[in-house]
Amino acid sequence: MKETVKKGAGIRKQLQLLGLIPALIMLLLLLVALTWQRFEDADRDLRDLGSYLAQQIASSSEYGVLAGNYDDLRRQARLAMQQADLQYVVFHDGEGKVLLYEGRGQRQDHSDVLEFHSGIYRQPVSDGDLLEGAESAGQPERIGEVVLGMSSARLLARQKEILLASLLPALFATIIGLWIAHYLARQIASPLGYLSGLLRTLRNGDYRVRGRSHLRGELAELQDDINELATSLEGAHREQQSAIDKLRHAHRQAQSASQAKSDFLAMMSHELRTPMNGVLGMLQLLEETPQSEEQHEYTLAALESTGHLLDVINDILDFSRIEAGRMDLDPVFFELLPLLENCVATFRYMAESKGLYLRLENAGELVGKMVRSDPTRLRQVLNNLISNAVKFTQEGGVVLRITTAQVRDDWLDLTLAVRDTGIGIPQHRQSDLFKAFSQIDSSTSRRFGGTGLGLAIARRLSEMLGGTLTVSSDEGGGSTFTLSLRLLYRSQAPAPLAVPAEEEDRVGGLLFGLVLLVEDNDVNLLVARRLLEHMGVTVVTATNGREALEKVRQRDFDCILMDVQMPVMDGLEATRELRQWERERGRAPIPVVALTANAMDEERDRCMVAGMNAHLAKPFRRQQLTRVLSPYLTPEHAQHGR
Amino acid sequence: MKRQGRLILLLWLAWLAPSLCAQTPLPVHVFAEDGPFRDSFMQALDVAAIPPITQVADPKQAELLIAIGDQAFRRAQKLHKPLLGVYVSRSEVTLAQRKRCQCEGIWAGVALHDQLAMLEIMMPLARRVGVIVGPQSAWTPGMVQDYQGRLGLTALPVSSVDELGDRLRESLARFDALLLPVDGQLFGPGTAKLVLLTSYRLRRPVFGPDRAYVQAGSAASLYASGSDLVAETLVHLQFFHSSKRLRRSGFVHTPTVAVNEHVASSFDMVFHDIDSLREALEVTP
Repeated sequence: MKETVKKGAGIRKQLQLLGLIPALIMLLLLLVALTWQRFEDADRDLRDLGSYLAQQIASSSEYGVLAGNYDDLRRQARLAMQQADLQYVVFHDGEGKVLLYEGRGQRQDHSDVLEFHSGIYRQPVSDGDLLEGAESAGQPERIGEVVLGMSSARLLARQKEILLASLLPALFATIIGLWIAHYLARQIASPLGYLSGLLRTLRNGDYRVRGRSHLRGELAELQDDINELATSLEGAHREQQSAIDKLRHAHRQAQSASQAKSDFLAMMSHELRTPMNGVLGMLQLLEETPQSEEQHEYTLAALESTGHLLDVINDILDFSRIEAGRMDLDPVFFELLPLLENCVATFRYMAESKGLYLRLENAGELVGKMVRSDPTRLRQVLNNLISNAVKFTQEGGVVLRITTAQVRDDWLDLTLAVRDTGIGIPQHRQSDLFKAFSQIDSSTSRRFGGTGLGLAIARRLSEMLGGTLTVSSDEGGGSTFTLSLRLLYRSQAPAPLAVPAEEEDRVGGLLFGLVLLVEDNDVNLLVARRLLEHMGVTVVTATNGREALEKVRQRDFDCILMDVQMPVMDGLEATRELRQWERERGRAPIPVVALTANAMDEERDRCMVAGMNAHLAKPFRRQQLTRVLSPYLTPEHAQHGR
Repeated sequence: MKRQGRLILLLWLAWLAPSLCAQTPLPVHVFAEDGPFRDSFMQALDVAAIPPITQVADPKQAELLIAIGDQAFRRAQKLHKPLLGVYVSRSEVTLAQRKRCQCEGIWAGVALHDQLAMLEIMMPLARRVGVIVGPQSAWTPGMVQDYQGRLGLTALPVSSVDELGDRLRESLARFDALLLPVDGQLFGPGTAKLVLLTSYRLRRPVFGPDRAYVQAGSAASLYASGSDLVAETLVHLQFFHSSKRLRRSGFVHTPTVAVNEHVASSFDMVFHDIDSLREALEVTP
């Protein structure tokens, strides 16, 4: 199930913020304004009080100042000092001299004290009409000053009280606001969350779900729409599921058919290869026998026909593997130029025998370049193209032209064009050229032979190699098959890579040693035994794995040729027991070469996993048998072997 | 002047000393309200020893009665013995003498001349001086009228405290200063603020009548202090002891001066300090 991704704040939180932030801002502004005003009021009250007290003291201290009556002044001061905030009272005479200081503690600079000054005036006598000196009544004479020092601590305390008194309701209002915003947001967000969950359920594939919440207004309409959508989706899903089921069924059928075809092809390949091995082997043995010229000619013809038949079988096998998706590539870095030269050299004899030239052009462009690809499959494609070119050319010749273009530092566009001067291909038939089992016409098949699978396989392999295979041709004007590949390459060859090449045949070479031949088929047993004996080795035979193991325990062999499919004990099981027995005895492992009519790669892998050293598919030619055995049956091995 | 007077008094006492020593102590009894002043006064009499006196508890055994204050003076009169009033209202003594009382007294207050002398020193430019005189005052209107000095004195008779404020507001503006006699009825603590504030609002300095008034705001005053009264009493006792008759009533001869420096400064009076003023008055402290 796909996880729900949080995308910013939810609608509930947004609604809460929307309801709360303006209220909080207003509250804050009001709080600041009211608190500020109350601070101002408190400050003004304090100042008013101070001024009032100062004026009161001033008015009542007239006598004390006039009469120098310090007792009276002190009494006035002490009376005023009953006001808790008053820190000191100072009386000055008209000249500013201190008459009296009355304070709490020592007189000192009070930074946190607000001072209030009020002048002390000589008051006129009330019955002014009786006084001659009433001229000064309109302008009271300043005879001194009283200074009150009032602590601002009270103001601060008052301000704290105001702040507290403001904050508490603000806090309460905030909590109420939060609760209201939360409640309202829940009222709105809950249905949305419910509908969102509904949609999420639909998105997760449960189309049977329906919204049944009692909603009103737009939300109810939205729920109805979602329900309708769910109904539609459920119907569509049902149809889709039905179609998918059908497709799956068809796919399973197709897979079954394909598997059956592959299995059939594999079985047919095995069943064909087994007798083919006998035919080919016998013909090879027959070729070695003294024959008349006519008999020898017949034998060669039979061998050639058998070879063609084997090619057909191999093509069918490759095609079936490609179709089944079982064709695997093994890309490695290798030097391309020797591979191309080898391909050309392979068909040079055939071309020259037909009076044709076969050239490799622009080979210099690949000197010192190593490319990364599957050399076996690349060789297979080129062999097919060159083989066809030689096959369908009667005059002139065949050229393999190399063209390269560097794409980046380490990528190379490689074009290999096989151009011949053959019969050419009509334009309207070129599109069918790469289809399986397709040749230009049946007469071509009859004339040149072949199954029509070669080019199809070549194109499939080209595509598997990451390239394309195209053709350009004019009827009667020759054909050009172009293989285009983009390959990773490097200029410096770190180490010479052994390019699978056709090794020099050792047809005439002798092998040495004692070979255990395990084969249940009498004909194939005979063929292999004779071929081995002609190679110069001593052969001991067994017809199944169990018998082979008994003989191994009795004698030392230099090599074992082991058929895979056998009664009693197959070759794989026999090899596993052999390796187990060798480990238990501490013996050096005997080379085991699989001889099997199953040429599939999986079969080769199973043989290797079982402990075999090499694999040779039936039918095999003498040269192939020699090549696969020669590493184990050289004189050195035989002498130092068992 | 005051210093010279005290010197004469001491010389006279020294002249009488041999004869006094040979005489028997004078039995006296002191009438006074209980209080610290009474104790101090009696102790001072004992310490002085000139003349030799014996304070007796029974006033009948006393040869001379001493009464401090008006009330004690009135009580002592009932014993019909020689009686010396100390710090007694002049009117009280006069009244008792009219009743043929064998009594004399040291009047409460100081002589008008002494007070005026001080005023002249402190206010050399003053010419017109008002003197409030009440029924119980130490000075009588006659004494004011009899004054022959350079100052122009005007008696302001006031019969009761209720008239005091109006009289002050009516009259003060015409004077350069106001002089107050000792008058227990008019110039007690209850009227001090009225008198002083009214005077100062009209920018008229007030002199007298005693030290308490100076503290309350009077510019200055000569007054009979406790020691002054003791000294004056001893003079009267010596006279009685030697002549067996009472000396004539009068004010203390050596009063003490008190100055309210703040008021004196605010009125720009000729005054620097209390000692210089004493010297100027020639009064011993």
